Amino acid sequence: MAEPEIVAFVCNWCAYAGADYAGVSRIQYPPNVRLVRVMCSGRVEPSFILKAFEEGADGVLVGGCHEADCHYISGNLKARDRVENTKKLLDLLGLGSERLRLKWVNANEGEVFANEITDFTAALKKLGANPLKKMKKAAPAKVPDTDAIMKDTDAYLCVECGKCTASCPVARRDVEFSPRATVEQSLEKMHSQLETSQQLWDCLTCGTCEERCPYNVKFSQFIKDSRVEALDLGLDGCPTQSGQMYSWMRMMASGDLPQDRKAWTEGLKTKAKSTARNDLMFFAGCLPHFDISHSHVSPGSLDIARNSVAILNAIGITPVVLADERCCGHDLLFAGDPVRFEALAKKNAEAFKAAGVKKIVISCPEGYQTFAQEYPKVVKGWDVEVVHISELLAERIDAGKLTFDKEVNARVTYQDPCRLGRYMGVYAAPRKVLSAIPGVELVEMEHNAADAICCGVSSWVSCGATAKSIQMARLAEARATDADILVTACPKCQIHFKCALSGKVPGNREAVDIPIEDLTSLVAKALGLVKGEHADKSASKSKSAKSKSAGKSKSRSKA
Amino acid sequence: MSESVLIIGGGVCGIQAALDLGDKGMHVYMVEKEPSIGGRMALLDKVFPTNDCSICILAPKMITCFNHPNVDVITCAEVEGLTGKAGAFKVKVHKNARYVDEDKCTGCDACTQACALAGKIPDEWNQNFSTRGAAYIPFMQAVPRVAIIDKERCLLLSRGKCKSQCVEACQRGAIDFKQKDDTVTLDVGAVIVATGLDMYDPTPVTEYGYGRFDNVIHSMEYERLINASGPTGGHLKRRSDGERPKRIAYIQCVGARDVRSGHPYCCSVCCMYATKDSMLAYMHHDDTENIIFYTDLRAFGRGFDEYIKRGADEYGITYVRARPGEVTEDPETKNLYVWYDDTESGGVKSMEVDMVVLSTAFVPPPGIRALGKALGVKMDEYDFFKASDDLLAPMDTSVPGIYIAGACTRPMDVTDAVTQGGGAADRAAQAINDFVGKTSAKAGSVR
Repeated sequence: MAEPEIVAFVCNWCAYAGADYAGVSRIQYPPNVRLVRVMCSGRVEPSFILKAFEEGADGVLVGGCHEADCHYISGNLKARDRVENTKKLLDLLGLGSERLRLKWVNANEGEVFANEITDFTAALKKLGANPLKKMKKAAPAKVPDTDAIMKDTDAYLCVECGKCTASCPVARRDVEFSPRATVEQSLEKMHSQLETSQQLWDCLTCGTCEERCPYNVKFSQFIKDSRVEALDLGLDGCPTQSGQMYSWMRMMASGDLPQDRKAWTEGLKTKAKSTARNDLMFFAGCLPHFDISHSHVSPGSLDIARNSVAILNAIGITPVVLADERCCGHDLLFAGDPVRFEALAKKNAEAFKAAGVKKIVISCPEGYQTFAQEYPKVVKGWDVEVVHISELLAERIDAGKLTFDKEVNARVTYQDPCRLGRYMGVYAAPRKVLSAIPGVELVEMEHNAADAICCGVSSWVSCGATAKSIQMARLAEARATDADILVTACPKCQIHFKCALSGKVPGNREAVDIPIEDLTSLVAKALGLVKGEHADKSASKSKSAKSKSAGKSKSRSKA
Repeated sequence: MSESVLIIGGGVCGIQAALDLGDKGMHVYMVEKEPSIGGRMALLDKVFPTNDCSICILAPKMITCFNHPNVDVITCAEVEGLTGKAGAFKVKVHKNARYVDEDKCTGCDACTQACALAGKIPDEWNQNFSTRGAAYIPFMQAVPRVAIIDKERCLLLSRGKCKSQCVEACQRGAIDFKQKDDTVTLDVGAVIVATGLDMYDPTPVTEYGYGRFDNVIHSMEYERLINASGPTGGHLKRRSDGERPKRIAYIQCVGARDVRSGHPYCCSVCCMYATKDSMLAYMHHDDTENIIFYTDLRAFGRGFDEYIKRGADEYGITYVRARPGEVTEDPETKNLYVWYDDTESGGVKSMEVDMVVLSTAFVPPPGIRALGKALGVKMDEYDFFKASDDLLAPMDTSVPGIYIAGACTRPMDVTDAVTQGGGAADRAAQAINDFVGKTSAKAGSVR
């Protein structure tokens, strides 16, 4: 193979000084490393590491001070935790955790540094090149012209009545943001101003405005399509966690990584191929990744996947679970990257076809919406039926084929996820399932069903003060119902709400603090599949997350 | 061959057509679905742009029409089928039993007071703000002023168990539980469809909270509340606490110019009636603040723009160009917050008000498509009757001899409905002349 390329992030005080010491001491080591000096290894976010791999690095080294030596007290400990987490991600992605190393190097340990590079280079030679290296650069997206966007989204029908802006949770908090003014601007041929503005990324695409628009202007699509040009100009809206999620999404779209994502299915009945005509596939999507990328808020995402399969098993279904399924592409599509979305869609479609999958059951509303509404547009001959797990369960309940025998004594309220509700029109099924559980009392929040308020963040952009304010308002509504649990049917709603509660809360914590659980968690309890404690643990308020959302960039200064 | 004309619908439009034809000496059958003629206009307090008392100008016409020697009014009846052609139509009319002999009843109210259910049934004529019994008279100025027995609710008719105090109370022996529904066939030479309109039910527009918040009402409810002969004697009261609202917001175009509700058309009257409603509230108490949230002010008729200007200048109405996104409620005070984007100055604002009135659209009544089918005439995609030529034959349908008039053709105000009623009467008279031959019509009025 060609010589391996190593990117090393080294801290100014110890590791860089160590490398320098190796240099002035004329210690020989392979010239395969490029050093990136940072003030502290704690500055190295998972996104930096992933970006290096995405760009073709064969190995990444994070170098910092020995434990207890950190010049910023504990930055190196943060680096250690992040590297550990990122290793798990690399394993999931099929890149392999051996390509990432953490090394404590003191300023006088030139030899240690040199030895590490020598050793790492040799190891990488054995491992072979990063499979992403040979991947082709994605073709540039076809930027839709303004006229086409306006026509496709019925924006020309807009009468500028302002119902959208008055309905918008963002506009209510941010005077700069206005769906009406945005469309108006484009009607006045000033679309280019939108593409370079942060407002383009402030939209939650939650669909509240278009749900209420008297002329059915598809504003979410308007935003989605307009983001293509923005991304083409290099503006990405400053995604959260400086874009680590986008890195792994893009990697899945671009390379042929030997993924094996089935570790979580241990102890559950699944199969690798569809063997009967009615076989169902369970699509886990990003759930295994979220538990890693958002470990700081204990998102319990894998519990959703495990509970879903356990529930399917309990009602007599052995679902197909694929080891090499990929991201559904929802976020890439909504962040203006239709090229990689299409690549993912095609790879997934091929994998489904190879496994003989005709019907998917899914617990994530975004994947559900993407398979149901977006795949048919880009995958030729797409004929895979998709159901949300709540629909499958509601159908069984209706047919008298499913009853719950364990009581779950709780007053619950339900958060309608945007994609499940306003996009797909599924409001009744989750409520039916909850109401069928003995002991569960379902109460509605002030805003529910089509009027439900979004969890505050979508597609991992614009997570800031506005998002937090929306989340607090929504949590306060949930709390006001006197419910014991806020039930969601979307892993991301859960992440966002838990994150909002994880740090300091503005005002009275009592007014917003409520345990959050996924629908599948309650169902699993009602079927006796999990013990109370287990689910209680996943729902417990994540007060422990004292660290301020590791690596999360709240900066919105760009653009 | 018949020289009679059938008019379907006894609202102001149908009444005008009946009077015009009757006065020409032609015979008219008027078939009205409800127990009283008068239609929507009979329930209004005032009418724009003159602010005339609605029932004061309509009631004389209702009575003249009902008592006209050339007009036979058949209430509680619906057209079921039509055969034949212009000049010789045979119309099947289903007449629902009233269980009260129209000739004997004097409208004395004895039975309505004696009814075991008196005061127990929500009165739909008053938008459920008051109650009635199973035996009732629809409203004070009903024509004919004859009682009717609600067959769904009447204990005797629905369960077979009642002491029937109504029978005892009636000194004229008018109550007749043996009455049966009846089907009659009418021979007519021409037909005028004047079935009018219905109001859009705003319940699906969940963001405005109708049905959820006590003090969000729709415009027809407002009409009954402000009406001197309505359930509150003309006192505007909040449903939550009976207090007089001092700050009222009107939200325009609810269910109109709204693709989502299936009514993309302009209802053509809500700018005007909201202004009228505001004026009325101000006339009752001049400390009332009225705020109209409009999409566009479409005051297109004669004197309409001046009316709006008067509303702003003399009655202090505030016009805000915005379609509110949402109405929320203060659970303590039951006051409402209207959330809107002020499109003239920008920015989302909320306004606290005591009452929200939803200016709902005019929509075709339910079941109207069945009538269209029975008559064999074309309707448009919204279930309005379609003229054979919108420009040059607005009263003609796809079937010769069948004419249309009033709000069954498109949303319109009283003036236009009356104009069309007169126009359709003339078209029908002409049809009788053309298809039946020289009519027996005598020149001059019989009045």
